[in-house]
Amino acid sequence: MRAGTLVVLLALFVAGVLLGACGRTRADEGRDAKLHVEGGHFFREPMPADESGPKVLSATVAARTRAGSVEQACAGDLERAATSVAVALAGDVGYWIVPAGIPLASAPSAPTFEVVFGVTADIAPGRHDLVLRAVDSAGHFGPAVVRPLDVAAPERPHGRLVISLRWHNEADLDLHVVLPSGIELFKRNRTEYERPPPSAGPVPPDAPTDGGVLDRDSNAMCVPDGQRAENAVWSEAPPSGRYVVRVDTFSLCGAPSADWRVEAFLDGARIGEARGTSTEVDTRFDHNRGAGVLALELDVP
Amino acid sequence: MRLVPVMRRCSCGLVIVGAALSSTRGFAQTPPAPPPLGTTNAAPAPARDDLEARVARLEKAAASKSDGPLPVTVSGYVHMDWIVFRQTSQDEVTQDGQPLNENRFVLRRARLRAERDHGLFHGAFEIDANTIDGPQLRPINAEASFKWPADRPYARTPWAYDPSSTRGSVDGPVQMPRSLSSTGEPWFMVTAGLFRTPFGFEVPESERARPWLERSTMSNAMFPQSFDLGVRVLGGYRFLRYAFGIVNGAPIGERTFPGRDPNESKDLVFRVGGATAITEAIRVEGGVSGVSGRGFHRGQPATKDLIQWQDSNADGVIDNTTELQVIPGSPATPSESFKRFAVGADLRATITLPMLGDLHLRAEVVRGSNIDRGLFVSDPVVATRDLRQLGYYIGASQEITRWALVGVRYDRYDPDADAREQEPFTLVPRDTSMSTWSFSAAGRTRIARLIAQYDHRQNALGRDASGRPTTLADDSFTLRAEVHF
Repeated sequence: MRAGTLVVLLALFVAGVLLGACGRTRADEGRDAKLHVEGGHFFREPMPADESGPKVLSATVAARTRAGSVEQACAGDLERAATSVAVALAGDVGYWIVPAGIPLASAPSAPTFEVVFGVTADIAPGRHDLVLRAVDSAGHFGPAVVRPLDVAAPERPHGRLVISLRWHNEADLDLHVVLPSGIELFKRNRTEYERPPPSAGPVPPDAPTDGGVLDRDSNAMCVPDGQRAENAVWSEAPPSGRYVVRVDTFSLCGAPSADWRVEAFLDGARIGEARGTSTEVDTRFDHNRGAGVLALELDVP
Repeated sequence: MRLVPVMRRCSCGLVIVGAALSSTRGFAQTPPAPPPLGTTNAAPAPARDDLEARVARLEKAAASKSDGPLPVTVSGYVHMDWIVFRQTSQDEVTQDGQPLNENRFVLRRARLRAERDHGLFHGAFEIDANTIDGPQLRPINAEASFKWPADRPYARTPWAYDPSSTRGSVDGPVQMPRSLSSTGEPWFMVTAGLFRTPFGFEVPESERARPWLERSTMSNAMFPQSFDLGVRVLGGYRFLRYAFGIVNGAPIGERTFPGRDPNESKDLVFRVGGATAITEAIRVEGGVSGVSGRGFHRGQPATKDLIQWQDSNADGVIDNTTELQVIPGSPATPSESFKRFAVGADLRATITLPMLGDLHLRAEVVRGSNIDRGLFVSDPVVATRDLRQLGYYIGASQEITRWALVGVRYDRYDPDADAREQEPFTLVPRDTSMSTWSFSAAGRTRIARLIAQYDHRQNALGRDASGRPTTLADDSFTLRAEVHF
């Protein structure tokens, strides 16, 4: 009987503990959300419909951003009762909570907020709505303030065949493209044209001297240039055959890794895509001709 | 495995086998003609000399083996965990690329220990293998001791008994006497090397003896992995137990300089207590502990000027006038040291219940300053104030016959008792403490245990919608298979 009583008491205690576990927040990095907020806590749920909470008095945000950008700023102030601000892109998988800060001397009764955010690289270009709502200490959300956010499409050069490499941070990655002829386009051989050796005799005046061109060596030697992209472009008909695309990691420039994306477009239509992540291991190899990891193989008619 | 008895048995066996061989050979041969009356019944002189020489040779060989570098005592154990679920687990990586998934199989520890207790001296070496942060193999205990009197066995800490009823030592298979009041401790023992920090009860407690899977949060934060390098004196006389040590102050689980010592200052640590049997069925142990030393704040090297670009208008082009920002370099800053200490008290009682087994009760409290080295590393130079810690636990475990054991423990740890948080209009105190209820149940045999444990954690690591700190759900359920040998 005593043992039975003990078991019941223990079961009640465990049940109480488990019930106490309800209502706690869950760990969630929110990496699949379109909006990322530095230092914010992510909630994977829609914002509540109730709008009985405090208001956002003002909010300033740069109206234009670029897919994959980080460190965009949004700041403003809130009604006195607010203790935090909820931020989300309309239609996203959740929202972020950032605690309110101390008021400015010019408005001593209005808590302020400052949100540093970024948008993912795969966000659809175009207009998005940034939703901000103040929240009070009881968790009541106030009415939404919506700020337009124009996300610019990554610019892609025009050409018959375009092979692009893009990445998301200040790492120094290099695009290598091996043509059907065996010529390799990369930062030390920017054009398809190779001058014939002197022993080959005089060059015919009508011989082609153009072809595929690599447009830049982005973030070369870890000097950031803001592009984080390299493109191999054929403005005229590209040679037919198999193209091999590789990504060489010259340096991560202090970053732990670099996520990259390779795309190939023929006459504007995407004919290939690959994604990958460069790590420290990828930097340890030779960075000359033939370097890099295989990203894509294309057959161009 | 004790090799001395084996050798002795071997030498005796060889003598017996030798005698048997000689006897057998005598039976195998054609029975000799009966000796004439008046002569002795002995083997021929050359055969007897040969046998005697052979036996002497074997005895000499056996004796020389017993005087060699052996014997050593070899022991070990394996802790294999299956974290069935943990609420903070995510299929993601941290900013520095470390996985956040915790629902996994993990080799928590596999220990192999060799030791020799020989008169005035004792030596031990133990290695640890685990896969907590990837495969790792490291020395975890290496010590050389001088003890007196010589006939007393090596003193293991803590001195009380293994609640998992291994009925022996907590680090090895050497048997210990049952009575706490006459444990046969050496009066003093001096040890140099890498050893368990003699602070409180839980820090030096063996991992294979604990009824719960891991130490309390308090111990993990203040004495991460408990082993430190230095010199230690410990011993006991009647009911008194004492231990004093001088250590680096950087246990091997420390997060900044594990197993090293960045400053010349050494930490002093002690525990003084007693252990006695009130009645045959009730035994009590307790003590007070302290540690004092200096921590280390890492200085910064000089930095160069930097240009930072922020693409404000998101056009992908550097605008020299508004988007470039110069971050000026800074000169090197010197490293500093700071004072840290902790004091604690521990109490433990063992009550033998008829039919069931032993009921173990334990409690410990520690108050510290700048002593967190494993969880939220204390750095008062950065914080511009001392960081005060307070931690305690209470626990009870009950044997259910010799085959099972159940236990419950509550522990609480506050890494910063003076934490504050700035809210829009006020600076408010912030409770940074974290607590854990641990419920464990174990089935066991003489050499193995299967432990199931549920941990219910409360902390202040999450934020609710109002932006206020709240508990980040972090409950877990773990199964552990343990075999020791």
